[in-house]
Amino acid sequence: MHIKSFHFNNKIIILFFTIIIIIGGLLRFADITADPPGLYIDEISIGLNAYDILHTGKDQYGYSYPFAFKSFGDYKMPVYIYLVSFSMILFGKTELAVRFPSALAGTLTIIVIFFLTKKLVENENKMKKHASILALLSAGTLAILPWHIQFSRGGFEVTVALFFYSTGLLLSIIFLKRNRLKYIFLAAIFFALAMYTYHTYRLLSPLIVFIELLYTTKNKKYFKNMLLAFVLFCFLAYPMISFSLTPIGQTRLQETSAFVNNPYPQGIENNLADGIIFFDNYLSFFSLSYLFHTGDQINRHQIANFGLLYLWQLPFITAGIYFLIKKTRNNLLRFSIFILLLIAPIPAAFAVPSPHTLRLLLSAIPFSILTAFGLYHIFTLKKPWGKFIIALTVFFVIAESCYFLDYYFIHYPKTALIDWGGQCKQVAQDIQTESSHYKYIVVDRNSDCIPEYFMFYIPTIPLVYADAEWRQPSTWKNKTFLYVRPFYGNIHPNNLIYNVYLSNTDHDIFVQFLRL
Amino acid sequence: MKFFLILLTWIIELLAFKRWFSCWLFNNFLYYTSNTLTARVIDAINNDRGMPHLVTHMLHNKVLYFFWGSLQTLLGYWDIQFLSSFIGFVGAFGVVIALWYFLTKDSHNKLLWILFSLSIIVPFTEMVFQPNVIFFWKLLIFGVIFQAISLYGLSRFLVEATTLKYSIIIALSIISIVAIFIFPFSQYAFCLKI
Repeated sequence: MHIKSFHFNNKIIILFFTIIIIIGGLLRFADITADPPGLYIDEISIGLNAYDILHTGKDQYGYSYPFAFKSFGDYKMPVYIYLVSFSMILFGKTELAVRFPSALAGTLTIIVIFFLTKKLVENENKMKKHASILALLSAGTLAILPWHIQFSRGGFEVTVALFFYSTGLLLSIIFLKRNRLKYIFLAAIFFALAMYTYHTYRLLSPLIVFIELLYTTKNKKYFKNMLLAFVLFCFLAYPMISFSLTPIGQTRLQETSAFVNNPYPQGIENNLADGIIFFDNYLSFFSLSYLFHTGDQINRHQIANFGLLYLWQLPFITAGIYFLIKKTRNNLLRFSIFILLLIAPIPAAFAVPSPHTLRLLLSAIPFSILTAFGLYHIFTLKKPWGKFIIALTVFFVIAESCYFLDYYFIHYPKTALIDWGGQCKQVAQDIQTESSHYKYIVVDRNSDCIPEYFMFYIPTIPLVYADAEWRQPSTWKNKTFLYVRPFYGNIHPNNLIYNVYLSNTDHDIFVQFLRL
Repeated sequence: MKFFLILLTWIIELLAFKRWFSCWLFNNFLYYTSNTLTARVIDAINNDRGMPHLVTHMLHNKVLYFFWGSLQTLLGYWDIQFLSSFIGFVGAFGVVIALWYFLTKDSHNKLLWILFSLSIIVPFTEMVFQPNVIFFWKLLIFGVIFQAISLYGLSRFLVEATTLKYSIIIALSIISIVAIFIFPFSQYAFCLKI
């Protein structure tokens, strides 16, 4: 069994490609409303703003079709929220509607990476015949990649931004082969869209367009078209660039700046320390422990003790880098992969915490292609132990995937319940059940669920939020009401209706329902 | 010039390494003891209520977790951040270069084989016998191995010396020195302080 002896005709390629898309789609859509187990705070904000935009044309704060959504003061980029508005036309104000654009973009990125790899490899003489196999390998790797699955299943803007960005890359590569203006114009539009979708792409998109401009300087034919596309990109990006220079536009940067930890307030030490902080942060994204074991330790970004990539990928990524440097004569291929790998951590290195998995998602593309490269080249080595290596790889791919799936679908909903706001979803559902028995429902403000959760899950039920000074209004005329309060340690207080136990591992009591 | 640069990088590596003697233990993700192993298995099976026993036994057992956890822990010692804190940025660069030459051109070099084998075996003893080995000796062994690998890599890198190569080494040396003096406690992400 030798990979080079395979003669894949188009039908077989299409069959495998379809299977990969189906698997990728299933991994991104299956049980998406229950796992992750609740909407986290940013998803709630996205959902509420999207719903308001759809029905009133205004955001939570009353601004008509805003350019950046104030949200919790972090000024979210607009594209994802408008996409969720469209999604709400189909699915209503539901968790599915909030996550649908992300899961769809995640699935579509698998298709994009297939064509991106194919176009990149087609120029390489040695691999030309097997461009489709390499493309299948990289699409397959991305389809089962824990990192990409994790972000596709949550309402993360970054997944959609990655889809736009990778489509822009694909169109750029096609332009570099055919020199048609329409491709690079479309690429410029997609790069600009990525900028309007997630914060890090405000830097990554201009950077890649500028690099492409520099890349074509030697060839006048290409350069002329590229320059036109550059002008178009500047025109499209201008509102975002000018917004980014305003104090509001810089809010996000200031909130997450890595340089606030600089122990030296001024002088040359301050500049040197800034440089070291950036350099150290940048290197942290290439840490093996981070990539293959610990991740960034934020439960929403990963499952415990499981890195961004599978351990089996490590030898193949190493081999991929080796073969790309030593055996490839295709400069465009080499240049594209390494540029992507090197620029992806730049915006994230300016911010804390570092490393940060969400901000690095662009690296999933070069890592998947490198893995495919390594797999292809190692499988095509004419060595007596070739079959053994293939069998061993298949075993590890299946074993680690099973392990990931078990953790993700069985353990994760319990271990990450609180990180995803699942406890507030549970409380909202219980309030809805009880609401028919009570005219008034009071929620203690210390119960760790911000009012936005209830506005999303149970918007029709009027709630009163009580702080320490709250007293029963005289208009209620001593009627009983439902009081939702945090658990203060007494399992059976007076007037208890029931304790709300969480469905996490420890079955903690989260709040108590009292009849007062 | 070459000799001077190698000597300079070695001094930087020693300066970075010296800071580690204010630690008394590596951080917990740099070793994998039987306690960690047991805790991970128990933690995993806690969530498996309602799952068939066969599946639980197949996916969460000590053999699998030892193999998997040890590999993950071993990666900690090859972490670019750990190495850059352990022997400076320039030292970490030397290790990466040595690995590159080992994989490409110097795969028959016996010294490299010995050094790389030790660099893999020694962390395993750290993982398994962690409470019983004095940290001072561990540090010394790790330090010698990684410094030797790094100096080999750097000297190999400068065999066909060009201005670019010299510039890279000088720039990394400056960054390393600045980092050592500006952030003298940066290793505490990887070790426990005395």
